[in-house]
Amino acid sequence: MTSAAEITGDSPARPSAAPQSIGRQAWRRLLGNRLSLASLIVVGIYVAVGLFSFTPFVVARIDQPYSADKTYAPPSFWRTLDDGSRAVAPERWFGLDFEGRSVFWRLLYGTRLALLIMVCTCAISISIGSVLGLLAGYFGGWVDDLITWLYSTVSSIPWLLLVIAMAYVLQNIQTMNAGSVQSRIAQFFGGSSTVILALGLTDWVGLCRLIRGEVIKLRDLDFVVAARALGLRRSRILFRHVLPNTFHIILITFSLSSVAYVQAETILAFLGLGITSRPSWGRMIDDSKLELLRGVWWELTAATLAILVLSLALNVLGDALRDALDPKLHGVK
Amino acid sequence: MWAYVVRKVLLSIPILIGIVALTFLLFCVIAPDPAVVYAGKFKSAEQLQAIRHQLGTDVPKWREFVNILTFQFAHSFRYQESVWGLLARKAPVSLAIQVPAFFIELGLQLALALLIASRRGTLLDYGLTVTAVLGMSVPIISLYLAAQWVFGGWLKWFPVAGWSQGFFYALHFAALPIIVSIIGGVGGGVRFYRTIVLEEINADYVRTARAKGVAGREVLFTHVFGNVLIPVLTNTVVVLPLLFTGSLILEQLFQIPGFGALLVDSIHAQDQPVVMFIVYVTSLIYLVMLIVTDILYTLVDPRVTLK
Amino acid sequence: MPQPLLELRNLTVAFDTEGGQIRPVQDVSLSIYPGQTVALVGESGCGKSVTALSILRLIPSPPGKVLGGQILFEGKDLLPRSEKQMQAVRGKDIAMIFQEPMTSLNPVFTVGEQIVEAVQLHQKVGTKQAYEIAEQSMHDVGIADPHKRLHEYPHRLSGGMRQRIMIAMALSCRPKLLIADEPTTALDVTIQAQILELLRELQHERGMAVMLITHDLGVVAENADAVAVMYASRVVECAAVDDLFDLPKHPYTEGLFRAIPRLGHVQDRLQTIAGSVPSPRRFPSGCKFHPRCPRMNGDALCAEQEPALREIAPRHWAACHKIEDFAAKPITPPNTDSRRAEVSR
Repeated sequence: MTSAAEITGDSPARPSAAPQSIGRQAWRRLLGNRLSLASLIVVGIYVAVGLFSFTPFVVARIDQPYSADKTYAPPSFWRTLDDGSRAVAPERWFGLDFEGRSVFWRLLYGTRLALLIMVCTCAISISIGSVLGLLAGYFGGWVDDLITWLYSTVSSIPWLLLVIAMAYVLQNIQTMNAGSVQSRIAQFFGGSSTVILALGLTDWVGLCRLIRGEVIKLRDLDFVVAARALGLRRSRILFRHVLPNTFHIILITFSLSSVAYVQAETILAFLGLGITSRPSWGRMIDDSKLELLRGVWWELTAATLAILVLSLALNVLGDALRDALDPKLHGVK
Repeated sequence: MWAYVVRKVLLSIPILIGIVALTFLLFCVIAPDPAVVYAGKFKSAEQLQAIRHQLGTDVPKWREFVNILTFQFAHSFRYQESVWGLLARKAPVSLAIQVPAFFIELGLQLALALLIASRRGTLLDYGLTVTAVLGMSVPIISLYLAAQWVFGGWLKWFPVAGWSQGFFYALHFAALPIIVSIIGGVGGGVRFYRTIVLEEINADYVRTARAKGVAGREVLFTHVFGNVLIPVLTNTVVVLPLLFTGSLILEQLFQIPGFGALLVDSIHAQDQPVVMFIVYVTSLIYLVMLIVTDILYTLVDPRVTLK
Repeated sequence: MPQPLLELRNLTVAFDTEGGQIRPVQDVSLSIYPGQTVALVGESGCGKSVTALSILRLIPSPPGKVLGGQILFEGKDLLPRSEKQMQAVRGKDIAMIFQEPMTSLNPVFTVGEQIVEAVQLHQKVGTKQAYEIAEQSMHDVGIADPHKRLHEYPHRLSGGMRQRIMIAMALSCRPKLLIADEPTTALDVTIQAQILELLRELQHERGMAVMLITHDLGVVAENADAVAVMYASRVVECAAVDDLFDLPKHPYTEGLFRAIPRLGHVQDRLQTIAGSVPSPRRFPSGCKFHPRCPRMNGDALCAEQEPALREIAPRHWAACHKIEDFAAKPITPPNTDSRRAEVSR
């Protein structure tokens, strides 16, 4: 207990901690919440599985039939060997699909495709959205008018229609220039390049609007005015000073859009515009359409669960990021 | 107010032109020759030209563009029928499913949101919110497939797919798609409206109303609801034009011969007039709905005036 | 001595939070007599708003709850009453106005509709008559052209006008007690004076009691008959206003007065009370003021035992272990002018 003699007029009740950057504070807040920590771990697991699926070990197993008669089999932990004994059979853990292929390995491969789609599509849509938003917000005038016209146009077409249109057009382009220059790249992408481009080129509007709004606010703030007064080149101001202040929006968008892209892939697969050569989750769900009526539920369940868990984790993460990065929300739940 | 409307309409015109241009580019320019698609590769040049004339594609591209803009659509390549005729035939089918689904879904979402928000912190709140988040994270195709299987394949309450004419038969076939559509769509809305209702519940004017002696339920349905209406309006009016196309997925899945199915089939079949028509009309309605929303805002929120 | 209109006896309110239970109001007792203005004074976070809200049971009930004590209105305890019975009390016997007139009115209804709602809840009148009562209320609070103003929406009115509307709404059913939670804090100084004067007038006309919650001692000086000073969830001093201003007995109150800069009085530094207000999560043991108290002198009693509110002079209560030691010699010499006259504007 302090005595009256020790108290002077100026001492605060508690010593103040060293100021932390917003990023570090947000990171701490993120990790502190158990739910968001769990989500982060889940996403990490998916990434690990996805990376693992790049190895030939996995790739070899996705088209291989595992049952004698090349038809489906329900999930089981074991398989019986010729001599009657049992061995652990990971390929059967999620059963076999209608061609006797292992749902388990195909699911793992699907993780790779899903990650690829998420990352690449985000890369494209975020690049377009943020650059256009930045330019529109900062320069105003005819640049803004043009970009606003562009995104109003794109957003007035119902998104699904647009994606379907885009996907189909890209398929047309592909068939019209069937060269093998792209074949190695195509192999890497496992046929998903159409989906990636179709989604990426059409989904930038949301981010563009957000960034434009934010940049308009930032443009008049003192630090930007000071930068201009100092005579900095416009590109430097834009990319070094203004853009970093929009990173929180970009990060949240990244997390939440990824969910949308994975889901969109399933829709495209259903409509026949998805990935055809390799197993993606969407394609597995589409394949299971016919299986359900014969009582084969495991492929649908496996793919659905894979998407569900990832979407949940990303949704939770996105919400947590929003809470962690938005200073105004603190104290309000 | 009319000055505002006129201004908005004028501003929408470049957007409309942009939409048509974009779609035109995607479908009519970067696309294989429809004559080849429909007749096959191995016809002679004169035969191809004759087919082009029949389809109406032997005019220069810019002419085609202007025609579309002015609502002069060619006949559908596939059906050889006027696009308007197709609309009249197929739209009611889509609407028969989408309209009931939309209203039931909205009512359910609002009711659940109000319920959850007024019972904040209880098990009900928690449970329903978790269910809603789960519903949003499940891929919608899986949900549809599962529901189709449960209600159609297992319980056998409704036919799994198909359609028929006649009011009561149609009802029979429409029931499952409607149910499935509601199940899929309820989750996201509940979560969204719950957030809004919660914001309003914690507002100062609610405290004032309670201090005056207004009962809890009354506060919710009179005071809060009036303020919740504004975001509800934004969400709903804008979605209306999509009712037209029906849910593309839904119609594919349940083999419903509606407008959405027509669109998907037409894209696959390179039936350009139909595709252009659907996209154009849908976007047009969307833009009109935006203006209508703005006007409705002034009715619902006294703070808003049109400049 | 007439019976008090409102009497709080040992009221304790708790909140269940993520970090445990906190008690922003502990063992609070005070009385308000008919027609009297009692000011509840203290810094932000001392529990005065929570006290006021719990009188009308407006504390959100899952996290908050009343742990103990009684709220006696006209002799009868309000706590056991049902929610429906409380609704009958709110707005009719006891009314409340709040700090933020900007957000305290519903933006989608006209002010007339909102006043009429209050009227029709408690009086059996038709709509037309209710509007007439509303118009009269608006006239009573000094709004010009009330007939037209009835149909205005809140966002079209200024802050001062909105607060007048709030007062009109609160007074429309002639309550016996008005609780005013910092009614003028969010307003300009000149508007503040007008609103307070309006409240004084209306109070005299109707014989209404007022519980005025504020942190501004100037407002207290001009408007209150009696004052209760709160610190960290407890009432630490309670007296008639003249008595309090002339000779504050609790070291916290003394510190508050000392901190007020005075015209004509040369000072190099403003006097402050050392330290800062403790958060309800980390209340000190014993007397909650002891870490900041100049009278403590390391006495273990202050650190261990919560002092009770005792009547140390006729109708002057204070909660401090060291009252008698310091009663004879106050820390700062009293000024020759009445402190009250100096502090009021």
